[in-house]
Amino acid sequence: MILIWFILIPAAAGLLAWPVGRKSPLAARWLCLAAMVATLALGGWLWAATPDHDAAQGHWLAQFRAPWIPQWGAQINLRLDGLSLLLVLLTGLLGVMAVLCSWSEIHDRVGLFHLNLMWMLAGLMGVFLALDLFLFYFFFELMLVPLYFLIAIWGHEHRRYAAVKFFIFTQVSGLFMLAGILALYFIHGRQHGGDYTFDYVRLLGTSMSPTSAWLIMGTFFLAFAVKLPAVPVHTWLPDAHTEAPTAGSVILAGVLLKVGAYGLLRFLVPLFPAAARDFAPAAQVLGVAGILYGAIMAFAQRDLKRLVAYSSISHMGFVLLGVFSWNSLAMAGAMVVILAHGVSTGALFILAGQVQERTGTRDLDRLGGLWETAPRMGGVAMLFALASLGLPGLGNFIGEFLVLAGTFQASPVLTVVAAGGMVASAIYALWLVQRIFHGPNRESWRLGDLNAREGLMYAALVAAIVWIGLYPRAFLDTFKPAGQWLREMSGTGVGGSTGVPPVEVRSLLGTKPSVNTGETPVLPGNSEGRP
Amino acid sequence: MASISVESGLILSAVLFGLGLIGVLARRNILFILLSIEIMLNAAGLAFVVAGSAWQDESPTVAASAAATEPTTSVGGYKESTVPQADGQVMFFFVLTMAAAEVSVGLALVLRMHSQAGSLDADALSRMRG
Amino acid sequence: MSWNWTMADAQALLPLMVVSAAAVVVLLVLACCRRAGVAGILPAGETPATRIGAVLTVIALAAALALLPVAGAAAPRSVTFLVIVDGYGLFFAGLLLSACIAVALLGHSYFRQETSAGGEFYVLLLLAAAGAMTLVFSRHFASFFLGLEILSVSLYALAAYNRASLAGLEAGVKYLVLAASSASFLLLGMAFVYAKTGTMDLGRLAQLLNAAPQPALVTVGLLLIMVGVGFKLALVPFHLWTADVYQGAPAAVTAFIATVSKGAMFALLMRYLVGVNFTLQYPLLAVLTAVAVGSMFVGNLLALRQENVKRLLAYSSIAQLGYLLVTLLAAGPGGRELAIRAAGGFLAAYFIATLGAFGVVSLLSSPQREAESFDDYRGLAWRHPVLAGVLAAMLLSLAGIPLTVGFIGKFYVLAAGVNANLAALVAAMVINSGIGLYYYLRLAIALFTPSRAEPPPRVAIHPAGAAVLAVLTVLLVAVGVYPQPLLRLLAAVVAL
Repeated sequence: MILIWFILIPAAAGLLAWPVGRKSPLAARWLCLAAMVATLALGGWLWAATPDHDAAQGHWLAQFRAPWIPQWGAQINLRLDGLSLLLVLLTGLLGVMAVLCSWSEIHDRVGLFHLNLMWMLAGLMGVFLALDLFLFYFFFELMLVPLYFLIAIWGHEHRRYAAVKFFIFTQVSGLFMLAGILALYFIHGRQHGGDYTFDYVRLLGTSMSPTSAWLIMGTFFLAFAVKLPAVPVHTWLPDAHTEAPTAGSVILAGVLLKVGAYGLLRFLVPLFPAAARDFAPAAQVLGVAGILYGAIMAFAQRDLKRLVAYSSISHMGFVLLGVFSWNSLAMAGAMVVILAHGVSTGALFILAGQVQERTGTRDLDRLGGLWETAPRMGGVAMLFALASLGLPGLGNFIGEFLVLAGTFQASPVLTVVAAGGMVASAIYALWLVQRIFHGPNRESWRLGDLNAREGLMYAALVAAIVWIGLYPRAFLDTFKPAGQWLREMSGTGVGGSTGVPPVEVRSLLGTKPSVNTGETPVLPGNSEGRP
Repeated sequence: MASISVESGLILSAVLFGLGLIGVLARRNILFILLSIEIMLNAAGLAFVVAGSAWQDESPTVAASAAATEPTTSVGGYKESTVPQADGQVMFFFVLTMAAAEVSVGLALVLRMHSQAGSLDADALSRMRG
Repeated sequence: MSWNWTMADAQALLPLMVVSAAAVVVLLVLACCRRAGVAGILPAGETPATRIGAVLTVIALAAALALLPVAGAAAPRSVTFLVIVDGYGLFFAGLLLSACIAVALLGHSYFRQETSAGGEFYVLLLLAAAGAMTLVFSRHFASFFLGLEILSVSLYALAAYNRASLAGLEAGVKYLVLAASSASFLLLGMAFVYAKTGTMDLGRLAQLLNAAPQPALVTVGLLLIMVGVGFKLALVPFHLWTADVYQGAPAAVTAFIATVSKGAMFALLMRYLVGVNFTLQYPLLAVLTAVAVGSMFVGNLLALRQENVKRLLAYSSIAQLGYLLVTLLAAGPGGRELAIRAAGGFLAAYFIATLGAFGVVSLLSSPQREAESFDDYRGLAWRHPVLAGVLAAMLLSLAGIPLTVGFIGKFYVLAAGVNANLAALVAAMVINSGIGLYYYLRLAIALFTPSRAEPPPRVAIHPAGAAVLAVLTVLLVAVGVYPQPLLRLLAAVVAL
């Protein structure tokens, strides 16, 4: 029952905020802030109350079922496991940030803005919780509409173009996935004597001919690759990011892109294990291509938000690589990248929003020397730039390192190339800070430094990124049972795919040897010598 | 009567229909267009008469075979029969009636066109584009 | 040949008889009222007459709607060899009657200040409704043709209803010329088919088509019939009239043409083609597939650059009918039930959204001035926030976005297509949904952008029209979120 509140609270707050916002914008802001804090707190409570993960009771932590459309075999089926929980927490955190960072940016139709923002967050919560494929698709599409309006109404100069491009890319790819879902639905129904259902758990293990599996998986991959985004279907992202209002960018980069990653982990690999396995090398190459392409394109940008957007493509390449490297190490790494990138990129977009709000420009050629008047802002920027480039101790490092370590078992060559992307990210991240905050102050900017609200936001984000960086075990423990289950579903067991012994994440990170496998922890660096 | 085959009758009606169609496409005066439409409708009517005469005094073979393969449908007290039918001729009367209705509405519009557009040229009514 | 009229027949035909009788009654009442107005018994002017006409029309249509279950008690029943009353027909009749009520109320709002409008609008509307219902119930060439023509002839007059408007006249004349020509194609086709097969019974014909490939004359005849049908459905390549007629006709009439006239024709087409084994009738299959794909692409591409809202909706309706044709092609041996229900669901969704969209256009228009250019809609969110919200919702529904009934409809059609393995058609539909999104969103976002030009005068919203829109919006969202009642109705009623 608790799960439905994750969706209802933001949705209700959004509906209330609309009329309230016409009377008093401030009341609407507080209302939405309270709702998001409550949602986050709910998630936190659930996290804290999580039972021992190694218990044999299964990895589902909570569920909610209600009949919806029995005729089609669709029901309201919400389930939460470690994977969903972490993403729900991320959504909650960035939801709070999105409300806070719009505080002084949005003055126009505040109520309607918050309606859209809250409904987008509700839709995202739904995506992460729904385990009925029809319901999942329902939310998957639903969250796009508010984001479309956020960009198209409150966005910057070329908002109309960016919004339409974003919407058409995601909608068309989503519809292909819907066709795929339906094909799966009919195949399953015919196999099981008319048991037509969209229930994810029942659809697992549907056997189908390799050709249909490939085709259906292709539609899923297309939808998730567009969301992720993977090269070459990424072109909507820089436009959408650049034109969106700050809150839109934060949610877009921080959470919405993760829907693609979530979809790959949750649906694509377990539903079509064999086809996904065959497809893995191609997906890895796409991932590495994304890493390099994003990093190289980031160099060439003059627009602050565009630069961060391209860096997102680069980071999400690691996720794609991690998911398709087919071992638990890389998968755990992908999970950490998802969280860390959400926090760090969210912070960078908030920063970009504040710079734009204060200077009126995002043009890197015009900015410079902001450190003189806004040292605190500069410090925060430096920290998140360092996080982004993968400084040990901050979250991104753990994730990207785990992904690379896992990938090394699958393909040393790709690992080396992908590591090159990390080097490139160091360059553009530092260059970003240097150009904005150091260097000559050509246009004599005098900025107000962070105020209390902004300071508070960054404090929370910094805490999160440091937490992920220094104590990832908290998150990995939550994820592990879910990850294991997903890998069992994909028919490979733990670490079985490349024929190498499983690598135990916890032992690698120096925590106590784990209970469940009992196999020798092996550092990925040693894996070459294995048979 | 028997010397005219069904095929020739249908060909005649098709030719008439074609003439009417050419008239609709080529004429610009709205009255002539209506006239041509009448020709098309009546060509179709002729085709019905021809088809009706083909079936008037023999039970339709196809229908009979279909009826033989399954029990005669008897819904609502009506028994379908395969006895000589006058359906084609009846349809012709429908066609005549409807053609009259079409033309009466058409002529009303022509009158309005004359008073409003001041012309009976169909090109006078082509202001909407896009 | 024996024919005994029974009470059950009367019961089955009751809704149709009510609508037909109402047309006559309203005509007489209007004549009497006008007389009474002249004689000084009623207040002078025509306003009372139109109001009485409107009230009577709505009552008659609502009564017919309420009588559908009564007729359903006698269904399925063939009344003579012309008409069959069954669940399938009754479902679509209910859809058509509901749409007619909405159009009557919208028309009443539209003509509010027009003193010369008279009440003939309602007579014509009732006649057209009777024609549409005849189509839905028809099982014979004769009733098919009669229903079609009653519908069409009423529509010529309705399209040109604005006496002062030259655009209305153009719409009426164009519709007349093209509809009459297409009707003659239809007739010629019927004659050809009859000449070869000796039957005018549609059900028998469908059986014959199912049994064996047919000689060329029958195929030619069927294709000629498809010309007439395609014209009525505004399918490519018979779509050329659509935009002009939609633009020129009064908005309420446009709503009627877009929904009732198309829905009735499609119901008939579906009823008899759904059983046809297309593998035996290859030319028909090829033509239908080409028409479906062509309608999607042409409709959507023509809508892309439209600056006129009525034309945009006209082109969008061409594309929507293209989607609908997918259900027809998906009705293979295994997918028959699903395809019929999908068609019913999609049409219901299409009716709601199209009536809603044209309803907003109609409420903003008056006989003097049609609100049709994009400039009339820019910044509508400030002038009429609720109307803007309703129109945006309707557009999102046409685009098939979740939470609206349009999603349910599109999902149903996709399901039917996937079930029948129509991969190419499904792909075409998905791509076209993307193209369609572009212009639906373009209009939706225009509602929220400040207008560049002088904003049009704020119009007063008539309560009758507002009520229609309120009901449609509630339905749009309610069915979109919880489609179960609609699905249950479709499952219970729509079977062939």
